[in-house]
Amino acid sequence: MNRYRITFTRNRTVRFVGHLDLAKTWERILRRADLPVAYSQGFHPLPKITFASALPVGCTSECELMDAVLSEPMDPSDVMAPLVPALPAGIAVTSVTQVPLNAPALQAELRWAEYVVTVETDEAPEQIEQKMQAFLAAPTLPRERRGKSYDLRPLVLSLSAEAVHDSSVQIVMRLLADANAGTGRPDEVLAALGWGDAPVQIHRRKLGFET
Amino acid sequence: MTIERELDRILPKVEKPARYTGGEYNSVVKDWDATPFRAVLAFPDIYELGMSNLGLAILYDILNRRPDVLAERVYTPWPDMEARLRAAGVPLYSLETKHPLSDFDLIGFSLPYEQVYTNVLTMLDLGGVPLLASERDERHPIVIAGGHATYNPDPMADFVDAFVIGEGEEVIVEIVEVIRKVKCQIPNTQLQRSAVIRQLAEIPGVYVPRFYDVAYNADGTLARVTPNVEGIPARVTKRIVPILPPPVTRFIVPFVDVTHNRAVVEIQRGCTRGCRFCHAGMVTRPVRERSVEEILAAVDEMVRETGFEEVALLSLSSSDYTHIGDLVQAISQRYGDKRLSISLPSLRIESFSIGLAETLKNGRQTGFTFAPEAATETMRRRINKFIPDQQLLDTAHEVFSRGWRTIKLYFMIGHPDETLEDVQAIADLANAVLKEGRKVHGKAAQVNIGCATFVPKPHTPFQWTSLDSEESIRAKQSLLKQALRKPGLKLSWTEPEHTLLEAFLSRGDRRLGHVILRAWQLGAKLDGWSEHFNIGAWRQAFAEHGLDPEFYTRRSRAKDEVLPWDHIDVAVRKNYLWQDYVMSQQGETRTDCREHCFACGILPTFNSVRMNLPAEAWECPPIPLSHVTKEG
Repeated sequence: MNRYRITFTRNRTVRFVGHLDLAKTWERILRRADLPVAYSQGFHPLPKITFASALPVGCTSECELMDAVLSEPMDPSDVMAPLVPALPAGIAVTSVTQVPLNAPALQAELRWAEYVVTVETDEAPEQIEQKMQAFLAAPTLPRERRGKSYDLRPLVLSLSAEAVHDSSVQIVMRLLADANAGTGRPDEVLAALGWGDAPVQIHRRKLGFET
Repeated sequence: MTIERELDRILPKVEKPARYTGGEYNSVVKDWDATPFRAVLAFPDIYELGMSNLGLAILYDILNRRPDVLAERVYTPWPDMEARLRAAGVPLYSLETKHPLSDFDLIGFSLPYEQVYTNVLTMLDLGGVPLLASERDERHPIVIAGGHATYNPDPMADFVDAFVIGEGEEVIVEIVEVIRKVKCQIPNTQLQRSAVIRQLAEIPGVYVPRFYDVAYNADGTLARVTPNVEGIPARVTKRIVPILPPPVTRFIVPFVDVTHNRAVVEIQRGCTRGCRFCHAGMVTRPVRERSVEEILAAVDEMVRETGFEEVALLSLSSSDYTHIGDLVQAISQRYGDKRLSISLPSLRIESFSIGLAETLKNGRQTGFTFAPEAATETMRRRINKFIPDQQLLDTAHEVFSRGWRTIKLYFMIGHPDETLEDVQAIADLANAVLKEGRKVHGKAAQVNIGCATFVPKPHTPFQWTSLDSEESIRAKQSLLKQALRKPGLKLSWTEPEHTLLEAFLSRGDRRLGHVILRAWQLGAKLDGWSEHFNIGAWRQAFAEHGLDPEFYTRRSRAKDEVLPWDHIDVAVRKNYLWQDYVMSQQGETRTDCREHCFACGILPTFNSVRMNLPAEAWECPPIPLSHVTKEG
């Protein structure tokens, strides 16, 4: 058994494909690529693929990570080559590396995710800056999601405006993405900033792991 | 690009937005500006159903293989999306390049069943195309429609410029050619549009309703349907392909779960069983099979090209495919350990079927489905589908013994002259099957009974018969609900109002165009979805137009009545159907026509096609040539 780590991007076309559907999509990509994917044992054998983190629906990304276990040893470039023509237009593979079979699961090592968000707004730069400061200064930010209340503040590691244009602002937020400590959602942060209904584009640009 | 921009605002707010974005593997995105002919294939129901439709997949493949043509897709948006599109003023658009429907040269609707009719109106309206064919001009696309429901096209005649009658593989290309040719010859004026439509009417198998006048008798029945211009055929004969073309293998692979999330290969087209209620069995003759080699090669290619984990071997009656045993053996040898599940629907009720299913079994198959359709000897003779109880019970016993725990049985109520005793027999039979299951699995045995209501269909021996009365349907359903209320049995049925809708649309005439339009204006949409079903809108639409649904549904027709689809020739003669209808009333059956030709009319109609084919190309048995005569 051999484990490979695949980095891939997701563009606008596939931004509404949910996590389970993405997993199904990957199963089919691997079948088209005719790679010797290992399957789990049992009545319902499933291909051994795992993802670092579900991408929130509606977002694009340049840093998605998954591990796939293959039953035969292969050079990473030979894993990558057949994948390329098997990918739908909205997904691209940027790298394949081999990792030890017994390396910790991606999910267990993940700590944070960084998002770049473009919000369409005509608010003044000072106003935006003030909003962010107030957000960061708040000791708690109680919110409710799907009927459950929780504190959003500890899930936000950093928040800043990267570029302010006439009718839009680019925000960078680093959110906790930790199997034990919790996972922050960019749309929740936007809602807390009063941009719940504003047209936005959310892009995940980096995942942070325990080193 | 403005559509894309608006979608950024709309899509996050609708259910399952991935249905509206396209980009699936094997979808074909061509350069809009560089492609001279642009068609959009429209399925008038939601994405999940449309993506499972083989007909459109075939046409998409054929058209996109041509470098000078692009074919894109569009489906009916769910009402939340419809409301958002309307509110934002965004037209209904194609998934591939996000162009409004009105930008295309051709819109091709698939009409596989009648419950989608109002969705056609929704889509045209949202797409910026006038609903009525008579109100379109040179700025608008040509709107065509095909599919099984269009063997009785006139209910939709007001909305469709031209219907394709029969199989579309060849004729779709001829239609594109005609439109292109005329557009090159004549500048873009109303003259061009009328020339296109006139020339479409000259293609064999194309029915252009505006060139036919319909006259009615005082009692509301049809007097005649006659061409109103020179050179238009009095009857339009369906198109067939002489031999099935190579199967589509590059199916579009959806991101989201769809109704049939799999690749399909049609192993044969047509059916020789002659069940009298079956529309498909009558309109898809003659039977043409694909070779085992061709099917195997196609399955190979599908797995490679799509990555689907399931392939369905499609036909109206799989057990009748000549080489079914060989095919199933070969497939299981090749894919037995490859985690590919093969589904083989429409198996006959006999122990051979169990062997077939067992060879293909791969741990995922949970149930076994049979369709006895009726439970007494009288009814089985009447519908010409004859399976003795003992055969069903023996087969059921074997299914359970070999490990399956669930059997699904399809029956129909409302066959002509059916009594409550005939319906009681359905319940008794279901109970007897459950008893067989309990012998093997105890309480774990399960029998699911799907009990639809029979709707008389055009071009079948029952086209003259009445739909069962509502009172009778309700009585029969309540009998079944009572008799099947028991652990281990599960009954599903069709609500009588849904049956009524299907029934009046199935055998409707051209006057139903007004009713469909009015019902749609009154809010009828997604009629196949119980949460949107609105029979009140339909009743009001009928009343406003002085028509009565009962006239179309609950009335026996006389032998010589002009039927609304008499000018459509499916090559099965009216005389033959009438003879079969009479035989039904007398309890006489016909055997499988692979064994003996009953002269339905296929051979004389397509004599010249058959002449040029190898003898085994069709499953019609050889008959002395002297018997092949041209008659109407």
